[in-house]
Parts: sequence; structure tokens; C-alpha cells
Amino acid sequence: MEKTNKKRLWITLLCAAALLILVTLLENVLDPSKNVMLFISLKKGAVYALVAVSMNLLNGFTGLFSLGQAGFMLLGAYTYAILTIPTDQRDAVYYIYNGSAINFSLPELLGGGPVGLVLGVLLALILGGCVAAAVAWLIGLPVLRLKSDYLAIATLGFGEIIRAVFQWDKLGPVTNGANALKNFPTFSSFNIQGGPRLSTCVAFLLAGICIAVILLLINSTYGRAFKAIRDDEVAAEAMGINLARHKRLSFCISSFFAGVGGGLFAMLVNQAQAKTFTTAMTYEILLIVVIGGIGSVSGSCIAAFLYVAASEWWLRFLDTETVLKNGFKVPFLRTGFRMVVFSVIIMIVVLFFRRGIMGDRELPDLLAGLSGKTRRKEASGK
Amino acid sequence: MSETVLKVENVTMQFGGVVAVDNLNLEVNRGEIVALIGPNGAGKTTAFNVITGVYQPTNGAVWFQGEKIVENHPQGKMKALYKGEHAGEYTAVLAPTPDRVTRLGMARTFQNIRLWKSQTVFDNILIAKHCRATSNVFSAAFRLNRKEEAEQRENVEALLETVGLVDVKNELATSLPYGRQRRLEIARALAAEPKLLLLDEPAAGMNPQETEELTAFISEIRDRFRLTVFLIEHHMNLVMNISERIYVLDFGKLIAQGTPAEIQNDKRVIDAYLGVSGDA
Repeated sequence: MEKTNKKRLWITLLCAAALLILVTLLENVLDPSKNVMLFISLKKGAVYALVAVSMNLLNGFTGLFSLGQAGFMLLGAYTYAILTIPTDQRDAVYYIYNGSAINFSLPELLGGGPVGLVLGVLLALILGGCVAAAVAWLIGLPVLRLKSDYLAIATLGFGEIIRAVFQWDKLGPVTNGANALKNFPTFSSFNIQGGPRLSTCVAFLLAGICIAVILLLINSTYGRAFKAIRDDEVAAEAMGINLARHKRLSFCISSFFAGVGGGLFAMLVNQAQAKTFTTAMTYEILLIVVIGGIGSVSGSCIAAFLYVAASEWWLRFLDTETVLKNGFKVPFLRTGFRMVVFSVIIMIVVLFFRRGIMGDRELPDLLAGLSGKTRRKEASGK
Repeated sequence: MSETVLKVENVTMQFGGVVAVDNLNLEVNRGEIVALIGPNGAGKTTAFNVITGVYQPTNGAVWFQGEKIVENHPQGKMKALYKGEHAGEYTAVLAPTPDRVTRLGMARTFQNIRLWKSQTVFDNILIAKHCRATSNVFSAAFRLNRKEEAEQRENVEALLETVGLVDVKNELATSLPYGRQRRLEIARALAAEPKLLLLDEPAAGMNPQETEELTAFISEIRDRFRLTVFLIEHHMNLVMNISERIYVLDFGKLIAQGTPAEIQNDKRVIDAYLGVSGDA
């Protein structure tokens, strides 16, 4: 038991380290301007992986069907953006409202330069998560009394409300109304001039750390309590698990990481705008969770990359009209056809993997199982 | 010696116009095995649910280890509807949630097995230890509670050894045969370190041999863990063999109480529940 746990831990750490090195190497060996889609897919995949895992913590591990993820991402993204826009850029960003109500920027407060940038970005991301968690705590008070579909509807409503509130004109000096917040530090800010490019590495590192923390939580005594609530609420309560407290805990932690994921999303797309955090975004993330396997962290991660790569990159060619050399115009190919094919692929995947790609297993289990099998084969062969 | 562990005092549970438990009074002393029997729908499980905090009684109080843990009186619409006795005697409202009652030292099993289905046997018991854990979510997530965690795992291992489930500890809980699932559910309740163990029809659906094993098992854990046991059961062999005292419930009312010998010869109990024995 102890041994397999150690083995799993090492496999996980090795995979993560190898992935990080591979990504950093790729970014510095390949020419980013020629492989734009590859790097966008990688970064977006990392961000979506984090948000999907945070949603899985709630939906897959605690059994609370919540659809507020985009709302919490919005909170994180805005908090991050508002706290990190450089002071000399504020007038330009908030030109409609004659400047910003908040006139400081965390990277500058923390000394500026590379150190200030790193610390400021980290602090702003964490604060973004904290704001999301605080709001989650508040709306959790009434909402977490609901179950299954009703909880989903209530959280869905929350996401819509928060999007409307952030576009409210009266809040303009803070949120810039319906306009985008921009000019804050992004992943590209971490590319060192004349040195190594680190933008993708930073995205992977930040998302990876957050996912690692969620994993640690899931495998702790609290994570076990969450799973007990998912499996049988009545039994969990009868065995001394305080339902209200543990549900709130899971909801807040999930929202915290959704908030951090929102901050990372803002860094990815170079802007924070309320209208991008729609319900459709929550559904995208839900789709990733379902495809990856409800209750599997590695499943969510794999599905996030596959989903993003398929929708953004691999199917791009379907959107452009193509005429072959002999003058034959390939039928169907036109703007929007990509999404048709993509939807069909999703349906096929869901049909053939009823419980998602990974079910509720994890990647190290599979790898450990495989290596065990080959060893047994070798032994029997001799 | 005969210190009262559980005392149910004038408890009435009324759902709308239906009185499920009518003015129930009972006491369970430390170290005893006490049974609650009665025909189907007599209100046995309802009484259990009131004791463990699942339901709030309409009127009455429950005492546990000398401390009043549950109390209620008719309120709102129920004031006019209330059909029970002792109205107006209780004024306070004490309504702990089931998890609080469990942490006070009372653990239960269910009539239809409620194990955590996707968890292994080992994890099922380990999760029950959560209510005794002192670490907060940060120290637990960042593994600052190694000592407590290791201690918990050792305890679970030892408990599995005592209840004879150590050979299947890495199996899924639902893959066990029925009798062993029952045993696991009792072991899980023991993991919460209770003083009083409440068993809701532990032998339901068991064959005679399994029932016999269970009877021995209940007496064994009572002695080993210095427990008090309060159980609901329909298997009269089991009830008459191990209980020191028996309460009989019919239509929500207590109709008899006493030792197994007294109950077997009580006319009202025979009429209401046991039937004429020996000529079947």
C-alpha cells in the first residue's frame, strides 16, 4: 500500500518535470512565430486544465453539480487585471471613465523590475482566487442547501448576474464597464529579452502548482470526506462529517482555483472582459470534465489539451475554403464548418467512452498497472 | 454500575396528522445490549432517527451520557395539530445535526446498507476516522499532519484485524458478500469511536448461519470496545440471545418492556407481534 503510493508519487512528479522541460525546450527550439497555434493551444490547454480540475473537485469529487465556474473565473480575471495594470497605463485603459479609481499596481508596489513582476503577478493571482473564494462563501450560504439540478441552476444564475454586474456603467472607474481591461502583465511578459522564452513554461508551472495542491487536497483526509459526501450523503453525515461545512469548503476551494484560472486566462488572452466569461465557457469546461472522466484529475488535464487543440488548432483547415490544384473545390469547407465536425467528434467520444477517457482512474494507476503487467509477463516468460 | 447512557424522555414524533412515535420513554444503561422490536411501521426506525438527530422530535427530549442533546416542543402549525401528551412541558429547542451527535459518541448503521460504494474497505473505515481528526484543511493538504494520518491508518489496520476484514482491505466495499458488508458497516461505525452503538436491523436479509455469526460478533465487540448497544431487529433468535432488555413498540406506543423471558410471555406482545410460538 505504502509502496504503491510512493511509486505513484514518483511517477506523477517525473511526468510533471518531464512535461515542463519538454515545453520549455519546445518553445526555445521552435520558432514561435511559425508555430503560433501550437503555443496558444499549449497555454490555453494548461489554463483550461486548471479550471477543469477545479470544477472536477466540486462536481466529480464532492458530488455538487455547480455551473458557476465562468463567474468565478471572471472574478479572478478582473481582480488580477485591476491589481496589475501599470499606473502609467491606467489613463489609457480607463479613458472613457477619465482614469481609474484604483491607482496602484502590485508589480510596481513590490519594487518593479523582474522581481516585482513575479511577486506582483503571483500575489494578484492569489488575491484573485481569494476574491472568488470569498464570493463563493457568500453565495454558498443560501445556494449550497440546494441539491443536484437546483444547485446547477442557482450557480448558473450567479454566473449570469456577476457578468451583468461587472458590465454595469456605474462601476466603470473600477471595472471599466463593458470595455476590456488590458495592458497588464501577460505570459509573454515572462519572455526574457534576448534570453530564453518562458511564457509557456510559466503557464504550465502556475497551472501545475495549483493542480498539485488540488491533488494533495483530494488525497488528504478532507478529500476523503468529500468523496464520502459524493458517494452517500446520509452515511457521511451519520459518520460525523459536517455536510454544510465540508460542502462550503469544497465550493470555496474550487472557486479559489477557478479564480486563479481566471487570472491565468486573462494573462493568456491579454485582456479581461466580462462578456468573454459566458455560460458557454462553463459548458466548455464541463465538457472537458465529462470527456476526461468525472472524478479523474489526470483525465481532466488530458481532455483539456485534447479539447483545446482540436477546437483551436487541428481543425482550423476546415474553416478555410480550399481549392485543389486541378480546380476541384472541396465541398463543405467554409467558416463555421470546424465547429460542426468538432461537435460530431465530441458525440463520438462520448458514445465510445461512456465514463470519459479515464473513468475515475488516474494516469499513474494506469502506468503502474502497465509496468506491473509487463513485469508479470517477463516473469511468466522465464 | 447501571449508569444511564441514553435516555429518551416523552418523545413524540408527528408527521402532519400521523403520530409515528407516541410518547416514547426508554433508558439504556452502560454496557447493556438493549433491543427495540415491533411490527413493521411501528416507528422503530423513526425513534432511531430522532435519537441520532436525523429528525427533530415534535415534543420531548433525548439525553446522552447525562447531557440533554435533543429537545423540542410543538411550534407553528404543529401547535394546533399536536395529538401527543406532555404538551407545554418542554420549552427549549435543541436540534443537533447527525454529525454532531456522532461526534458526541453515538454511531449507527442503517437498515439498508449505506457504504461508500466507490471506496475500498480500508478507505470506508479511514473516512469514518475523519470526524476525530484535528487537522485543518491546510495542514491536511500540505501533509503537516503526517503523524495523525499514520496513527489513523494504524488504527484502521488494527480495527480491520479485529473484525476479520483485513484480507479484503483493498477490495471495493460493494464487492464483498452481503454478510461481510454488514460487518464492514458495523466496523465503520466503530471507527468513529462511539460509546453507544445503534444498529438498525443488522441481521436483515441474512441466512441463519450469518445471523449466528453476527450475534457472536455483536457480543464480542461490546466486550472488546466497552460499548453499549441499542438495536432494532426482527430476528427473534438474535434478539432473545443477546439482549439484556427489550422494548416493544406498536403503532408508535411502547407496549412492553423487560427481559427476553418476560417479553416472550407477555400477552400483548404475543398478540401484537410475536404470535403464538411453537405451533408453526
